Parts: sequence; C-alpha cells; structure tokens
Amino acid sequence: MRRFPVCLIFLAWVAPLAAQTPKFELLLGGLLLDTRENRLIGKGAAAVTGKGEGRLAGGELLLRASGIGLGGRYLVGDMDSSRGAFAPGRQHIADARLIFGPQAFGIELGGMYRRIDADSTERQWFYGRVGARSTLFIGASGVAVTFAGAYYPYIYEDTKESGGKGWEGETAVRYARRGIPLFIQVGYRYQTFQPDTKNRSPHIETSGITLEAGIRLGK
Amino acid sequence: MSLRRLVVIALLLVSARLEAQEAVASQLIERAKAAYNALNHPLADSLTRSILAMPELSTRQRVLALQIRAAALYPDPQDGAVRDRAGAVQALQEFVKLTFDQRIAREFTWPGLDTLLTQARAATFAARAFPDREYVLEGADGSAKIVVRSTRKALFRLAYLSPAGETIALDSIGPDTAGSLTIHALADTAPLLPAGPGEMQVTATDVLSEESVMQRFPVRVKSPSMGLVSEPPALSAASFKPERKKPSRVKGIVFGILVGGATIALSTAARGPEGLKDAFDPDSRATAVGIGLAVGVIAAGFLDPGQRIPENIKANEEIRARWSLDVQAVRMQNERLRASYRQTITFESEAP
Repeated sequence: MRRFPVCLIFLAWVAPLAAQTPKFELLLGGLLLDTRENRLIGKGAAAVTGKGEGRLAGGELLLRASGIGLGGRYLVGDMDSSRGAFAPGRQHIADARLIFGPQAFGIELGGMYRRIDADSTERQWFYGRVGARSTLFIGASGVAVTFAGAYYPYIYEDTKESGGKGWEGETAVRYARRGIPLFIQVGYRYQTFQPDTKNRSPHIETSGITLEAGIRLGK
Repeated sequence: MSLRRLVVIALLLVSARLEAQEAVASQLIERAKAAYNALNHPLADSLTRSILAMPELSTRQRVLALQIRAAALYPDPQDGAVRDRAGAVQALQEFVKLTFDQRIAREFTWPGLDTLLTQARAATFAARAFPDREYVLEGADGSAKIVVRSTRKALFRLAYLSPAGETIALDSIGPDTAGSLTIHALADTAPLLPAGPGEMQVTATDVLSEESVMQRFPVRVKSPSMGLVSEPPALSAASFKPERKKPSRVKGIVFGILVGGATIALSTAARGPEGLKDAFDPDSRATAVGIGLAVGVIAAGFLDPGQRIPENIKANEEIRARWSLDVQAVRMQNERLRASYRQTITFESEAP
C-alpha cells in the first residue's frame, strides 16, 4: 500500500512530460558494456563463489511511433575470471521488446537471451521479460534521463522452463544536440537472476557501465 | 499711427530716395557720354569718377560708367592723347569682374581699347554664375543646375542663406573654369530648402591667388509640405511573447538526484539474493557513475535554454510580418509622395 501513493506521484509527474516527447523516434547505436559478474553456486557452507569481468560490445535499435515501438540490443564479448570459481568464456546477451506508451513512460513486453560459452560448459537461457522504461527530457538542454526496470517471470534453459526468476534495472543519461542526429549516452545496468531455483542453479549478478553512441532521428 | 503704416511710409521714402539717386546717376552718365562724344575726355573722366563713387549705383549704370571712363582715359589716338593707361586698365578690370566676358560697347571702343580689355581680362580673376530665372524641381531626384564660369581655375561653392541667417551648403565643384552647381530638391526625405525668401550665394575662389568672388541672388522657394507619413515605431522586446519557457533548473536538480540515487541504489540497496550480498561487495563504480550522472543532469538543468513555445513563436512571426507590411506600406506611400513632389526656385536679379 505504501507504494501506491509513490506510483501516483510518479504518474502525475510523467503524464505532462509525455506530451513533450517526440512522436517518432529512431535510435541506432553502438553499445559498450564494461561488466562485472558475481556467481554463487550452491547454498550455505557448500556454496562456491566466482567473480569475473569483461567488456561486451554490440548495438541497440529502437523505433517508436505514436505510442508503440519496438527495440532490441545485442552484446557479445569475453569474460575472464578475476576471483574464485568463475569459468571464463564468451558471453552473448540479446533482448527484444515491444513498447507500449510514450517515451515518458512505456511498458515493455519481450524476451531476453543469454548464452555462456565456457571451456567446460555451454549454457543458454531465454527469459520472459516485463518492464517499464521512462525517458524524460531536461527542458531543451538536449539531455534526457532514462530509468528502466524489468522483471523475468519465466526463465527457460534451452527450451525447457527452468523455473528461475530475476530482474534488471538500468539508468542512463543521453545527450543529443538539437538539429544534429547524433547522440551519446552513459549509464549503469544491474541484473540478477537465478535460472533454476529447484536444482540450486547459480545466483548470477551482473553490473556494468554502459557507453553508447549513434544516430537518433526523431520529430 | 500703426507700425505697419510706418513701415510702408519708410519703404516709400527709401524707394523714392533710391529712384532719385538713380535718376541723378542717369543724368550724370548722359553728361559723361556727351562729354566723351564731344572729345572732352577730362570732363568725361571727372564725371565718371563721381558716378562710380555713388554708393547706390546699379550694376548696369556702373558697367556703363566704367566703359566711358576706360574710353576717356585711353582714347583712340585720332580723338586725343592717352591720358591714363593704368587708370583705364583698372576700370576695365572692374568691368571684367562685373560682366565676365562682355565686350565694350561699340560707341566707346576702338581696337586698342579692345586689346587693353583682353590684357585686363587675362590679368583679372572673374567668375560668374548664370542661373535660370526659375527652376522647377520634380520628384525625389529633382535638381537644378546653375552654370558657372571663371577666367581662371577656381573652386565654386553654392550655399543658401535663410532670412534667419542659417547657411546651408548645397554643392561645390572645381578647380575648373566652367561647370554647374547642383541644388537637390530633397535631403533624405525632407525638402532641402525652406519655403519662402532667401539668398543663394555662389562663391568662386581662384586657386592661384585665393581671391574670392561672391555673387548673391535673392531667391524665392516654393516648397510645399510633403506630408510624409511616419513609419511605425520599431518593435521592442515588450512587443513579443516569450518564445521559450524558463530553464528546467528544478527538473534538472530533481532528476539529477533521482538518476544518481537510482544508480547507486541499483548496486547497493536493490541487490539480489542474500547469498550474493554476503559473498560480494557492491560494485564500487556505481557511486562514481551515479554522482557523475547526477552532476551532468543538474548542470543540464542550469544550462537549459528553455523549451521553445511554438504558438508564441508563430504569434511573434505574425507580429513581425504585420509590422513589416505596415512599414512597407508607409514607405511606398512616402515614395509616391516624394515622386510627385514639386519645388520651385525663382531667382531674382543679382544683389549689388
């Protein structure tokens, strides 16, 4: 019940801002994620931990028009172990989403894909993804602030539902000068999930600094 | 007795006195001419000396007296001996100054006196302006030209002197021996010369000797008002609506704090399962990133020029367009008035 008034205040804040957002927007950018990942396998005294870090690179596409849109991103890169039982290897992260609502506050429905190619193992997960994203402009300064969050109600390992859950959160600040169709964005991303709670599959926590630059067209 | 009546009586008295003097001068000139024809050169010399000393002598009478005097002082050897060549040259120089290129009347001259006149003209700086009786200046570019000539290269200047004593420089040319001085009808948008009586002054200055000759012409200017319409006053800032909203400073501060706080919270308070929290420290980079993002957004709020207000921009464009049309209409009307403007300058006889 405490959250209800907070939500009302937030909606009251973003509703007038929705009118300021562009009716059409195309965003195509190159994305760099400087990431750190913590893994916890097992519970209690038998638990094993591992920590890794690496840099993933890829791209993002976002297309919006009249309150509906679609977006997606793909990142790939190598991660090395920095501590404990962390199997180094190549990681792939991709997501695709439909967006409903204006830029100021839109609901996202979609999925996410994650694959780890380690020496000893190869695992891939598919996530159902429900989230919200709000991008708010600071007047006519060219700066926009983004808050985003998503919940994974279902996680599938390969093609089988694993029963896992997780969530992610993201903040970003974007700058695009009026009249120039380019943008630059800096942000922070956090993700945590447990692919299979029944079989004690690992808790995974990923955090990273995002740096993105590209083309932005919009009215 | 009223002042007006006194002025009229005074003018009549002055006029009567002038007419009497002119009549006396005419009689003396007739006597001098008769003396010259009777070969009584000393009498003709004496009479012309007296005539030329008269203060109210007209130019025409002075010119005539100078010719008789020159002829009496430098007569044809058949009629008598040369009495005073230098005096004759002096009389002829004054004659040249008054008449510029006029020849000596046939009844007084002989080839030797003509030669003396040529010599006197070469040694004399003389300049004359030859204005028309009346000029009609039409339109904005209307102008009048006064022909000027001089015996030697000179600088010519034309000025207008108002009854109040105000001098308006009109034109200048030279150095040259001939040319024309121009009077323009308008100075920018207003008539250059005031309506009513005034005086045109043509001054010629010899470039070698710096000797100046001035001719003064009483003029009457008919210069009707143009009736130009004033242009609308320039638009000021108060005429316009604000085209931008106020800078989003508060929004910048609020969202700066929110984005900074959310970034730090993601790596600390909002972390996942307990086991992970216990096993790993939070991502220390998040604090620096959060502060950086917050500072950037707050700065953006302060640097924000303000959102454009399209309806006000459109309204201001309409205000500017309306004003521009009004100015254009006034300018066209004034242009028509200037084009149809007509000014008349009437020159009277040269003042002595």
